[in-house]
Amino acid sequence: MAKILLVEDNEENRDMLGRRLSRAGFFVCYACEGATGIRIALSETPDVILMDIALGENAMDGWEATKQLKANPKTADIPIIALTAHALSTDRQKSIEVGCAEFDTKPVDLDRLLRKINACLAARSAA
Amino acid sequence: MLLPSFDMLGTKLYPVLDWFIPQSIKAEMESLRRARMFLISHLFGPFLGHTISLYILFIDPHPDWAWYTFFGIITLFWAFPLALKATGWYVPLALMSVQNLIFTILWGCYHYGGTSSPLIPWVITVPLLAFFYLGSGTAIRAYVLSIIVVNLAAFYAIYSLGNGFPQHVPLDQLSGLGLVSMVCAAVYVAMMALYYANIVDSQSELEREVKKRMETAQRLRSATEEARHANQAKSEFLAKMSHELRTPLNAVIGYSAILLDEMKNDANADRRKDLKKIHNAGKRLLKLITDLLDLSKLEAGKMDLFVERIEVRPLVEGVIDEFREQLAESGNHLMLECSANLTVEADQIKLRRAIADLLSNAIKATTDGKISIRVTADLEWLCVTVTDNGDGIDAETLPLLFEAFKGSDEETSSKYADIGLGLPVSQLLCRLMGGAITAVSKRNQGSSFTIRVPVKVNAAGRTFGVMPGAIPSAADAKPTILIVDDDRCVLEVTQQFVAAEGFVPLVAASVAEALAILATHRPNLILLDVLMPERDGWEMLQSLKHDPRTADCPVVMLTVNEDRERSLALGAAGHIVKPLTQRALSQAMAAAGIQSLDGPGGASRREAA
Repeated sequence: MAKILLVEDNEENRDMLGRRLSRAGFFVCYACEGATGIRIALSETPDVILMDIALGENAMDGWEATKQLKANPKTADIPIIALTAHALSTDRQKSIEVGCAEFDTKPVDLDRLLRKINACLAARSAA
Repeated sequence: MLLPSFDMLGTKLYPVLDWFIPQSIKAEMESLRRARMFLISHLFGPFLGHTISLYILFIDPHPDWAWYTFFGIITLFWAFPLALKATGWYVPLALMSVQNLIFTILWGCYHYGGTSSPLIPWVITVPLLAFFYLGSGTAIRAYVLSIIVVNLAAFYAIYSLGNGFPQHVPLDQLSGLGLVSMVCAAVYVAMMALYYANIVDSQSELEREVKKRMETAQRLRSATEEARHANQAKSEFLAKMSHELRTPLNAVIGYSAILLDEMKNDANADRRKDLKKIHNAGKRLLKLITDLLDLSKLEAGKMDLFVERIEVRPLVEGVIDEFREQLAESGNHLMLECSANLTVEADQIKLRRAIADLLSNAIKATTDGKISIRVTADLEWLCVTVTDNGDGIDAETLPLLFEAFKGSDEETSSKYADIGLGLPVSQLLCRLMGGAITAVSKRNQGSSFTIRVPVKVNAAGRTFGVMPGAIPSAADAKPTILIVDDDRCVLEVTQQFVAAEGFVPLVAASVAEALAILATHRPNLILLDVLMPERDGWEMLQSLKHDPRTADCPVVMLTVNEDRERSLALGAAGHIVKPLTQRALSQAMAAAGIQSLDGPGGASRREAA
């Protein structure tokens, strides 16, 4: 069973998306903000990380967490899918710059997100 | 105005005066005014002077040489305007005139009454006129003072050496002359003073006007600043609100999706239907919020393009996948016509969004019908046409669909209730990419919407057509030069020159477009215009030089601006003043350390040039 780390600060969204991913057959672990996300990524070594970008005022945001994960050789090869609130912003450009494998918008279209997760998993097992 | 008669004089008299004044003096208002005063004085003054000389002739009908000299030197003043016209030497002539004036007055005083001469009041006109003609600079004061002193000294010497004052006319006969002389001098001074007062008046009026204008400009500036701040605040507010609204919506949509999933096998179909309504309403609201934010960003010019290579077919298939369920529910049959290996360079998200919008609209307008998506491309344009055989739209209402919040008539808008801001936003997005959406529709016969955006299709052959944001495919292999200019004519001409040097020209019509190209591509050289709307060339040059990724890419400023020093100070490798020539480009490239290549047609073109 593939393991997904969901980094998301909003409790409802975390619960809702986590439950939907569990139903879709994934093992889901959670983090509320960037620093915790990095710690859990190191201890749990997930197969994919879903990274929300805005993670509350005083917490490490998703960009920074992604940069640090990509800089750490232990976690550098875990594909990260950035989740942002707004589709047309330059976030896509930024997500590529910081090293995200994919990019999707919230609220998620679950089918589309599942396709992206599966593509990441396939690419990883091929590599 | 204070003196209406002077106004009239101004319109009638000034053309006559100006005839005498050389062009070089006319160029400056200050010198023109002085010259006019000089001319008024010289054209009318001698009449007053001759009143006195003729009065003396009246007293003494058989005058001697002293009178003839007096008459002659007064008449001489009339020669000055002609001399000015002929030579243009204003200052020497004015000084000569002052000399002639003091001499005339002292001559008159000396011969007609000596120290008790009725002509003495005229002496006060000398400094007055001198400073009127010449201004009050230190040198001028010294000249005028020395002229007066020298003349007084000369006459005093003659007086000392001779036997006092000559008596051509007995002193008691000159008493009448005193009155005439006083009146003439007063009229003369009044005439000059009036002219002077008129100038002072009009000058202070001018100053008031200038001050008023400056205050207006200041008010406008602060109003613009306030508006900018307000707009900024509005954008920030919208962005924040949209995030705040989205978060609870996320829960509404997500949890209803979970429940819907759980109720798949529920016997109570009504409950499921109601839940589906909640779910769909949530999605509609979300789309509306997203569109609203996009629209405000687009209208504020804050939407940037991110150009990347896209495979078109997977993109369109991805869009269709999202609408599978809606297609099935509406009973529509969908056909896709798109070649498998078509790649273009465009903004993926914005293109996808526009296609999704057209498909969504087609599904809403059509029940149990046919919808087709046809993708075609030539060397310059990508066309995505979405056709349905649904309800169709009247020719009159069709354009309204592209306008935000215009909707159309009641009937259509109920049918297209969900369209909302979709088409207006998509249209603006396509415009941003340099294209547009066009539509053909007929009531009850269906509609056809076409997205047409400029892209550089990855196919054999290449074109140098002006396509903002698009990178020729050949750019991958060949050295490139990026041209940034908001003037399309300049872009076209510069492309030719660049191609003639053997380089592939990349063009951008704005700083934003240029940065979009630079995000994915590194040219060998950048030719950068300065004056562009929104962000200018200086700003771009600075940001390029501050970014370590672009700092070492040579930039040559190409501008009407002569400010070479500023270019070089900001880190440009060269500065070409428009219009560009092949030679100037070659030299600038050589100076920037770039060898020109004999590309296809390069050498022959250069020879031709």
